[in-house]
Amino acid sequence: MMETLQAIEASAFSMFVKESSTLYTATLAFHTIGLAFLVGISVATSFRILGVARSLPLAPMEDFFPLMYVGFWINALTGVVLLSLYPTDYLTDGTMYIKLGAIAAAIATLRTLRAHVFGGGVGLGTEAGARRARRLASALLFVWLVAIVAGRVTAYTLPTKLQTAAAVLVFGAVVLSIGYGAARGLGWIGSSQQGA
Amino acid sequence: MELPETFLQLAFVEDLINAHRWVWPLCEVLHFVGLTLLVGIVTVFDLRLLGVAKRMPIAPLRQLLPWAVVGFILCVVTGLVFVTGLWANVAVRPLEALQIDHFLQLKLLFILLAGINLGAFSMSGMSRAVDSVGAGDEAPALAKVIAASSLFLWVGVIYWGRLIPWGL
Repeated sequence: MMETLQAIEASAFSMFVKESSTLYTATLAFHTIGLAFLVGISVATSFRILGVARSLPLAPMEDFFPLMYVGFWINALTGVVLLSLYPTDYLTDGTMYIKLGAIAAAIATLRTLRAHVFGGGVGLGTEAGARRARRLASALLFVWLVAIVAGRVTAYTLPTKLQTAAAVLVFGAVVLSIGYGAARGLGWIGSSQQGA
Repeated sequence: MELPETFLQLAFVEDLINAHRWVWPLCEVLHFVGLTLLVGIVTVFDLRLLGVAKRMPIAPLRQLLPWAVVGFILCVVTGLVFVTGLWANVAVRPLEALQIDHFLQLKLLFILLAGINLGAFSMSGMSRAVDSVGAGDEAPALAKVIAASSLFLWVGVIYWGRLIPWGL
């Protein structure tokens, strides 16, 4: 296994990208642009389902899904290129598997959410259906956060990774508590009205 | 007027970064969360102005925009931590970074241009005009130009921003 990873790391393609700082940094930058499209539009859709912008019709949000998929494929492609540069580091690091697992969970949740909310609007008319949509949207936000945290801490030591994850959890809990109250007070969020 | 060498350095931010290893990566995570909120929501708004998801009226879409502002504030606050605490993380002073890092300069320029673009959206009357764009309607041509510029500039901000460590 390690021999295969070493062979990939020493391959002509891997060396070519590593030696071209422009190509390497552009790949990293496009990985972040893909993330902004994929996760950003997921977040906008999830927020709408959770009750933000409740007078906004939900059905047209589906028209943004193709751009999300463009973001996904940009990241899949740039991600494979980045993995091929230092596979002996990345693929022997448990954090990378948490990131990949979170991405897989996010894509599965996104597909389930799309089928539930936009696939003919099944169940949206009922309170149980709306509740399931909110649960899926919350789960989607959570797994994207896990993917972002795992992606960002890859370069750090294990104690720093764990401390950062704990700090994100504490910070997230505090911000969510204060932010939820403030957002309700300001009318940015309200009782979910699916309106598909 | 010559700026002092320690321009933009904040001792308490440097101390915080030195004392807790998780502060810098936490700010990185929050910077990414902020950019996701900001660019995701701005992209949805701009694409609708450009004609995507035309079934969607524009006025209610505005209710998502405060969350883009939250994302922007998150990016500004964490970005300020990176700049004012830079000396604690790499051996480069903030003033030096501003002078030598072309990627940082380009990122700040693109943010400034995005701000001017937003000002143009408001001052040209387009901000009010698009509120009457209902389901199935086209946005005015000027609003489309501003939306395309906005998309280009924010994607540029991400691009240059990701390259900043290589410019130091």
